[in-house]
Amino acid sequence: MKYPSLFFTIAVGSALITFNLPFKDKAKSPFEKDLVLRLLSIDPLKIIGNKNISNPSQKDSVPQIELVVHDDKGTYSWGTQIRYTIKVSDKIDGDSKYGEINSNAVLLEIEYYPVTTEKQTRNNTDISEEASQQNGIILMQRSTCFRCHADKARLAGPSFSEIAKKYNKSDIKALAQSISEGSSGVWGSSVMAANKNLTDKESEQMAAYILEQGEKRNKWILIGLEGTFRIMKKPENSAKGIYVLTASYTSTSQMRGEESIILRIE
Amino acid sequence: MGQIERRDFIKKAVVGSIGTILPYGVDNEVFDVKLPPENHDKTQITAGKKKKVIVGGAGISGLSCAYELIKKGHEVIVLDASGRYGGAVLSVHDGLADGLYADFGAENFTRPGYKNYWKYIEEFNLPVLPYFHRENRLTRIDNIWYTDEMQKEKYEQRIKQLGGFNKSESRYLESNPSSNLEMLYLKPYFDKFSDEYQPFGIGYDHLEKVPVSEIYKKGGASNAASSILGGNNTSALYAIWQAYIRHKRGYDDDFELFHIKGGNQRLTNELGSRLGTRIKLGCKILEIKNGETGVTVKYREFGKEKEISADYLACCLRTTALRTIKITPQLPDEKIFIFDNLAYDQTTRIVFQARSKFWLKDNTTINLTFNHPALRTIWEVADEVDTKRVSLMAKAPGGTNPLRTLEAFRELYPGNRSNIDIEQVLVKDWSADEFVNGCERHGFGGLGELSKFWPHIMTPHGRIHFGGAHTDNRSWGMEAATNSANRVALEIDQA
Repeated sequence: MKYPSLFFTIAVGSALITFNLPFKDKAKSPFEKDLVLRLLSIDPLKIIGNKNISNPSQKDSVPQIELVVHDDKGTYSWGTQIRYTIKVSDKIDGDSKYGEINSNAVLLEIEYYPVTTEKQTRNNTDISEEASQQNGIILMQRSTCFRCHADKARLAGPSFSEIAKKYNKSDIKALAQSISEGSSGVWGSSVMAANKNLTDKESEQMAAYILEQGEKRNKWILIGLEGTFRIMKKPENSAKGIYVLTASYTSTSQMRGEESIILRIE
Repeated sequence: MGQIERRDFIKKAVVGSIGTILPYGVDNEVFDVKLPPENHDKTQITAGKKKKVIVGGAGISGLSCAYELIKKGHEVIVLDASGRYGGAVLSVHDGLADGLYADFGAENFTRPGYKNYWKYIEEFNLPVLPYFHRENRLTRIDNIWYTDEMQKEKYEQRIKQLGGFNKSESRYLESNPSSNLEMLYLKPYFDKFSDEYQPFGIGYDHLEKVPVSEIYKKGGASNAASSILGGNNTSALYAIWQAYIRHKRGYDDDFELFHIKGGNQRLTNELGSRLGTRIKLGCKILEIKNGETGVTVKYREFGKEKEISADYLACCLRTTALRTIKITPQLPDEKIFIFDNLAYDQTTRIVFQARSKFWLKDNTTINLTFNHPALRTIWEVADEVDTKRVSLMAKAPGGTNPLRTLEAFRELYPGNRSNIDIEQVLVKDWSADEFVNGCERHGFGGLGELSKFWPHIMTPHGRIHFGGAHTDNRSWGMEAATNSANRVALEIDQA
């Protein structure tokens, strides 16, 4: 099903980009007003939201996220390495400043959009589909997956990209079985531990997320409270672009806080 | 088994004393470090200018690199993100009774081999013990336990089914172990090597994309040998190069295994005590500026960001740590490729303490290979400790729950399970370690892979020199770490 959505149109260079941030209530809550104010007043643009909020009174229990891009210039060159820190504060879980936040539950999603002279619209997202994808990543964050796997980089196990190159959606059940039962000999001599605590549905959601994220060439995910990433080299067909960075934390109370920043690339 | 006679191999180290006071500026504060008076070899003092060097990482590589640098008269400061030094060298005593211990991390070293490691064993006069965990084994295959002899019989039956070895192979195997058969076909290529760190430019570059199975075929390998050796997906250049290094270091035929009595961490402790407060723990490197005339390193200590400058950086950090550090100007693409693509083995080490050598009641061995998802192998450690209790070391993939390992052990143990008297379970899952994420690096032996990694993995850039076990030409942890440390110390000394 589709939920009502809040649209933002942002000027980036000479282009207009429309973002669709889905919310369960379209009502003009104080939180939403605050969101718009922040949106208009911060440069580089920051968007703050929480997808789990159903009424404003829940705002206080949402983890507070601050995404810091060091040496923040607003505009960046192609190929630049960026260092970031995600600060998390949650009423129940604690504060990242004191080492109280499980870094495995902290996620940075990075998405690249080319900027052209034409108006671009981010596709409306089917919230039920997105929720399903979100389950996949959250399940992985709660498990031990990210100790040996990363999105685009190689750790002990294959990256999501490598897995997505080798398998497709018809292999989800087989991949889910490997996740549950463990696996060896498929990717060199590496051995993957079994994850007996997962249900079939959970391991299938994880497998689906891996395949979906793995085949995305312009979206990256990174786990943890800090790190670096590199902006891609200048594509042939685009002089300018934007990177949307979304930091999120899912608390032990299952509340998800987010903050997004837009980086202009030229 | 007793302690081996160290007289057999220990050469008397030439020691002198320096006892110098070195000022070192850090974040507007200057602290003085007194060099320990012992163990400084005057003959090694640098002939060139004294340099200020930051060493990134206090694992065995960073520690031995820093130690080599101070011996050469340079000023050194070591930064490590964690609160302990030693990295993947980690011996556990706490939680084990009666003086038992185990090595959660790097567990053994060989002779021949480990030349730079033995240098420290000798210099610090550390007691070593032979390590027999690969002898008298039982291996579980398809739910059947095989002795080494049974496996040998099975192997011989397979060879027979495959048509048997040819004459030259049979002759070779009369005086060589079957595990060394590949050498018959690879040795003829060794003559062209003059530098074990340079596999390229000696006439074999074209072999990088040729499967080593083609080399066996070209050498006249029998069908049986080809089947046993495989190699369809392994680069011939990589295989020849690695075989050459093993041959040069003398451990291609046979070698003995050792460990340090009391735990291998004794060696990193010795290095650490000699470096003193030159090691700054709890200091995570965040950014590195690789300048024309020096390096500046930004690091964080208890939430506060600080900067320190020096002439050089000896970077002995794993690529998993390097990925999180901003380095300007940007390093070349081939180095970044390595940061993004180098893989490390991930292992969980589980230590069981039992009340007795219970397996003796079953007339069996404890050197067991289970080939189970939650338990690969198990063996006894620290058997020289005078107690009826025993400590057993088990290996499992990263992320394994140790109680599942215990359950697998109980279920599959090749004796009477009611005799099992395990009373304690300790675990170290390296895949979950924030600072030492993983064990030894993987090789790069795929077709066309070697030139993506080598020699870029060890190439210095500007004022940054790269060490760490992953930068050496073979992956055996403490050998690679100490080799790379000595290389980097020499590079910086001569820069």
